[in-house]
Amino acid sequence: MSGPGLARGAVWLLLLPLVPALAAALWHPRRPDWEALRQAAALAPTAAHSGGLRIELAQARSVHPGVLWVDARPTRDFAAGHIPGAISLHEGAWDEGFLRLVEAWDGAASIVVYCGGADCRASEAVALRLRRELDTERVYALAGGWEAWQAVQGAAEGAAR
Amino acid sequence: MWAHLAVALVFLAAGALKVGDPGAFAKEIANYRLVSPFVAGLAALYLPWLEISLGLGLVWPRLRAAARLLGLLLLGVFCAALVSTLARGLDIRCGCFGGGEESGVTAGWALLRNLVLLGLLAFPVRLGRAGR
Repeated sequence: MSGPGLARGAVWLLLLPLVPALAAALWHPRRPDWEALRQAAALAPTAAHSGGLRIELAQARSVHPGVLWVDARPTRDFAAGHIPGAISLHEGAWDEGFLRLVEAWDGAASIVVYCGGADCRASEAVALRLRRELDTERVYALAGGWEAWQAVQGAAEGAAR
Repeated sequence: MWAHLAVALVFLAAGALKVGDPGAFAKEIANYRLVSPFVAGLAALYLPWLEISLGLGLVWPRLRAAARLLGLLLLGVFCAALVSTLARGLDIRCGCFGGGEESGVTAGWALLRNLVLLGLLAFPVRLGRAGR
């Protein structure tokens, strides 16, 4: 195809989808909810709000009157192993996980979110979002995540032997 | 030719699976945190139809070259978005084939899949040049 022909073809391929897209914007029963999208963006975590978010494992275990653990790792990792009693909640399947959390949370316990290890950021993102959605500051991100938990469990099992 | 057909089918499937629920797709795009909510909504309305357009273009000889070029660009953009989620440690669903599917597909696997598609589209281009 010649240069002008290529350009003309590309313009057609780019312009034609505008017609059904416009129709979808006007009449699709499941068209984007602009207000909900705007609110979701407002709830997205920012670095400015991350103060006082991290909590060490030893500190988390001594919190009164207890902790509700939230696992922010992908579902398959949660299925492979998690802190006993933890709720699976991550950004990829927020609505289902959030419903489980609300059902399990008594309103008194602190919530501690963990992800894979020291380098992941999913726990911070989920914790910040939970702080806003639940309107409480008692939501934390576990320093060291699942790896820190496993290290402590491994040491405890070793000592018991 | 078979490579074009394979990529065309993937584009058609990806587009068709997403046109049914642009609202859910908009949330998937917003989860990447690369664009504003407004742009995410517009992209959710337009991208599935663009994928269908490119899928049809790839099987129509007169539009194949243009569709291949745009397909390479689009897949490049998708790859860049996936690389950015990996770099930022975001744990989100790809959203490549609409909601409900592939909840276990990580950004890494989605990136690999896109790179394979990029290769399938790029390969015939190189063959054509080598043959001249």
